[in-house]
Amino acid sequence: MSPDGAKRPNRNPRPSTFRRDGESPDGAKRPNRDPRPSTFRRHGLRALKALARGYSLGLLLLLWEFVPRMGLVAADILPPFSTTIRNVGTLIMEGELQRHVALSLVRQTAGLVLGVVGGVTLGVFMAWSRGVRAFFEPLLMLTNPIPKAALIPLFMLWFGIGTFSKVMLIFVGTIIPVVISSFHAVADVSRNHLWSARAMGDGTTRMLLRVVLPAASPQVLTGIRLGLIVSLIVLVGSEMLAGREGLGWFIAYTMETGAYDLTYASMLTIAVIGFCYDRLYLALMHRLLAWKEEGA
Amino acid sequence: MRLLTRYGSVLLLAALWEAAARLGIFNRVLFPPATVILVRLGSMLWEGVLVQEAGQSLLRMGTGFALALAVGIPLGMLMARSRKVEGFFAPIFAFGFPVPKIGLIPIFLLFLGLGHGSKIALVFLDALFPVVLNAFHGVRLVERQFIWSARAMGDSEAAILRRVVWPAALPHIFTGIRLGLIVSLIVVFLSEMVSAGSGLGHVMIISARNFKIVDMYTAILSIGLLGALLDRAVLAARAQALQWYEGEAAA
Repeated sequence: MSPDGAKRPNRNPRPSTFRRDGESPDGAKRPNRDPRPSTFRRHGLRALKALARGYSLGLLLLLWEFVPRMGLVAADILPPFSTTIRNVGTLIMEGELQRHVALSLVRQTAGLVLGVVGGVTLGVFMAWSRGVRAFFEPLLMLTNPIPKAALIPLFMLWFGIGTFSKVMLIFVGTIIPVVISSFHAVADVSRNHLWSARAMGDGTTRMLLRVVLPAASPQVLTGIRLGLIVSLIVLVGSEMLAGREGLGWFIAYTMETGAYDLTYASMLTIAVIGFCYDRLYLALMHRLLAWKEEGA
Repeated sequence: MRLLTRYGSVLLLAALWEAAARLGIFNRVLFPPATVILVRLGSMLWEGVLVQEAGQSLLRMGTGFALALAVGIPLGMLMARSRKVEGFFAPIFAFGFPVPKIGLIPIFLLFLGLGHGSKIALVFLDALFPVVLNAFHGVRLVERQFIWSARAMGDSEAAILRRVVWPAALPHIFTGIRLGLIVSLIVVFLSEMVSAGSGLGHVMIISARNFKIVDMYTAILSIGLLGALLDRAVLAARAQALQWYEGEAAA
């Protein structure tokens, strides 16, 4: 669950390992106030430096490789990293992995898109209308702390164990953080901006699109990131529990049948997918908010 | 009366549910009336089954979550203060943060077995990320001037940590604690559903698979109540610890 993709000013003048390219552990970009001229602008060197900075990850991978190789842990229950990579390759050649990954991603994307569209709409309405707010706020307050995992059996019952049930689960899991963040974001939009737009003759729709949404976008996008991470958890969890396809199911199935080497291959896949998905989203988010950063 | 108007929409939905189930608009088996579920909740509480299972879940969640706090808060603060520590841990947290850790449950099952150990480890790992990252940002955002002033006034490093850095970082630390709590609740019930012989998550999935619908609803309701209660407790602790901060923010 994301603590933030929020932009906070870095008030600490100490140049840190991460501030050089404005990155921080959670991947949120922060303004680079390091006044030193960057001598490492050239891409090759930068890539090398980035690699060197991730040395602890490399260390973990080495451990993963050599602990089973040296027989400290049986290779049955922890196949070495290189073997796992080879297994991923084999699974891809057989066409098995793509099938599950594609299906899982379709489910996740459908649920996420529904959750984002529904969440932003509801959030805006809640911020704009007292009646809508009075109706939905207690519902949200009550449902927000419910662990979404508790809904899995319920949705199995209502919607079956297929794709629809998973999409609905992801939808519910993502809509809540999105509604909450967009509600707060829209409610925080400065009255003065609204009045100015009104005074300049903007209608409601125009004002919504040109004033409210841009002003609210940082918080909304942060809420969507939270939703994205929840959606991956819910996706994998629900697939593990029911169904006969999807990456989560594949992890559980190979585990149950004792094909642990394939379990590790699929776990590596889900980890890489989660990481890349989040990074792609962050890149998109920074692009969408580029105008804001320059103004700040 | 105030509660009644505040939660009007919730009560309205519950009443609609009850009426629809009683009148047979909904499938009575899939949607038992709300009162039937409440009665079952009462009887399960009375028999002590629910308390016992909830105790198992809370034990797992509480241990993992407490470990995550005990390790995560100091680690996050240390990462913010030391470049070496940050350089080592930051890439790990950057990579691991968006990974759906529930997918890694087979590793924990293989190494720690089906009992408490694997669940506690998974809760710990999942809750650790928000806790560390928020403690890190909290300390990072402390105004340098405050620290300089304290140092100029002759405070020792330990005193600065206790009297300047800690209070200034506390709001962020609490954000991490709250997110960590929500994550640990999700993870403990999910892992109990995937593999366990006890706990509320186990009760829930077994009831669903055996078509004991009322029991399933009862388990879901108690999980929801438990989640809401714990969330409230964290918020109350936060309000208590941050009275000065909230007052300042409002002013």
